[in-house]
Amino acid sequence: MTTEKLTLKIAKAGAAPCACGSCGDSFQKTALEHALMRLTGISKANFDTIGGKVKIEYDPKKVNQPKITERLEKLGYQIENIGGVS
Amino acid sequence: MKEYIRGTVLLVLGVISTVASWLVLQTSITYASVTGIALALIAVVCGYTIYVTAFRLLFRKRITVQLFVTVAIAASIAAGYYIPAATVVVIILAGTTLEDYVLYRTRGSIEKLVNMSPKIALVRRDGMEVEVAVEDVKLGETVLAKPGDKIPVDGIVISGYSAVNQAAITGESMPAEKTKGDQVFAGTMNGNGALEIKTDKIAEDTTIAHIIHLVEEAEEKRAPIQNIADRFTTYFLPFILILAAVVFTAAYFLVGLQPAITRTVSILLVACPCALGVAVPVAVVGAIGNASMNGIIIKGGTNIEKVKDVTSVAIDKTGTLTIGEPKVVEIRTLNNHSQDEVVKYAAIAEKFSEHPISKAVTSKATELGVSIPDPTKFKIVPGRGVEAYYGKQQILIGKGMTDMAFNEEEDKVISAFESEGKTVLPVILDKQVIGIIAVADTLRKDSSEAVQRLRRLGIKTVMLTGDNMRAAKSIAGQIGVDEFYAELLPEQKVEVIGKMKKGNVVAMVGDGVNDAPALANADVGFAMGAAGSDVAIETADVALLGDDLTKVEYTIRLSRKAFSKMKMNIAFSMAWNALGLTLASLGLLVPILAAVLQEAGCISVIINSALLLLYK
Repeated sequence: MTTEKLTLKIAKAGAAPCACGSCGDSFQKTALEHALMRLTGISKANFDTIGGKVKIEYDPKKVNQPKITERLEKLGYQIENIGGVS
Repeated sequence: MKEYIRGTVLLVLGVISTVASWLVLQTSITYASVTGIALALIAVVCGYTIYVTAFRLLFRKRITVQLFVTVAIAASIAAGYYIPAATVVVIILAGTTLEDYVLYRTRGSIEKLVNMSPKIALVRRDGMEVEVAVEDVKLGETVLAKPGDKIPVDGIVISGYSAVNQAAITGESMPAEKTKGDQVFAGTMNGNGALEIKTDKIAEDTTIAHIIHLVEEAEEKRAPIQNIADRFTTYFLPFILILAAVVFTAAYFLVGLQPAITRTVSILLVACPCALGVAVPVAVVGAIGNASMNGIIIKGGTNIEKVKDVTSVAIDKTGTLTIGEPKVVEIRTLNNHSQDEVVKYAAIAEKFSEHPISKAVTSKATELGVSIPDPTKFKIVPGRGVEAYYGKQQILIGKGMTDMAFNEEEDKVISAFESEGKTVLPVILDKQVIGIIAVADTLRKDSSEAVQRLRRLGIKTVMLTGDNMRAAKSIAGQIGVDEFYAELLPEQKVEVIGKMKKGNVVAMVGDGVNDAPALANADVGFAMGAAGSDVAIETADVALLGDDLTKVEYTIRLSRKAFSKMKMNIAFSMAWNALGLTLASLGLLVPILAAVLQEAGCISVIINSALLLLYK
């Protein structure tokens, strides 16, 4: 199985960053990571809430970049830029 | 790794080193004080995520509670308070770990839905039965569901008979009977029969997959009340900094350096905006999660706030209050003919008609076990009835099919049925009335209960229907709605909603397809029986996946509860902070107690919100 890696820089559109950065952020982190990993073909998702970066590993045969970004947007996140495809 | 597992590991390590350092300092072994201090510092290091987060966010020009904690810990160590510093770290670790765990569990309602999604399917390919992953089932393929299996795909039953438990989707625990031609959903549980199903949706597009996505999206949508909490937090932290500076200066001159440090550290530790920041989103997730386990999809926090304000509910009649299919409700026999005879002749005449009323007659015959021979010939007269021949016998069905006058007895039966809002079918065999069949759309069994529950909440109920006045009046009376509007065209339903909205918050309940305009025009649109229709699920503000009308009242109650919890949490948080900060400023709160107070405040609001998941 081939995997591709993708890093997305996102601006939180839906939710303002929690002032304490701990409990609220981990609430967001779990929600986003789980939602992404439920997409067919995504094997890893890591959301760094402080830096606003999502790192994703996926199988390009089963899922593609537009599908991933569409899902993120539907979840209320705005994507600032896409980079780090390797 | 799950946040709370890492937290637990660090917490255990922290507790051990704190206790060990305290014990070592009690003894007189060589280097006891050095060892004790070293052990205490290990505990402090266990809180490294706090400091890392603090600096990373400071780098991005964000001042956070973590920064306060870091400064407080550093100050304590500098002042030589090693064990108190270690204890504070342990308390904070314990608090956040518990919070992470509760938050993780609050997300659990989605996990339940996900676990209900099937993983493998038994597919018939080239005459063989093969097990494949559900993602690999193609459109149109035949899938087998053995007794007790989870139904793997959305599709249409092509053979077999079984009772299917659709609770996963509709929240209703009564199994639904499924046979040829019926729709089944992935994730529902097959009963005792085997079913062959023709797949009509791929795994990504199944109803349960849509539900999961919608719930995920809904949980991220903020409630407007969150803005109040956010505005508060924006000013909260700068305020704490100023307060800390003022208290430090004042205490330094009044009571000296040591107490000034202690008070400042306490202020920094007791400040707790996270109760505000997280309590509202957790309540939203809790309420939406609770709803999703009951077959209700609430589309986001905004709708929770709208639903709680609903003062009037407009309900469409056909298909919502009623089942939407006419049924034979009464048979009156006349002139010494039997019930079976009446049904038999009526069914012969109606056998080849596709009209819903004809279907009601033929299914009554099947139900009674009356065999239906083919008519020799038949003719449908639209809007009037049917004329048919069985051998040489002439059968006429319908009031408008004959010029002959009904006698007094017959007339009495007919007008009695009509005043109850039923459709009347006189069955006339060779010019003699042998019986009169009454057909009506039947009420759902819980319609009246649902309306009564809404009224008990003080909500005005209004029935909307396209039916004639008499039928509408009869049904409105049976259900007990406050008002009804009859003979409405779809666009007139929109007008009625518009009128109702003056001074009221109006919810409209309908099937979400035919009533889509009225649903869209109401303040809150409830689509009922939405499981089979993506359009209905997508467009409604609240989608009721099953056919249970009582869920409307449940949604309103749940939303009211959720909103009152949000308000309660915000008020509690403010009071708690005010109390803690006052005590700390006056020097009545030692740093360790400050940390305990902060974590206790945060955990109580989170748990209070998370308890919405258990609301009934």
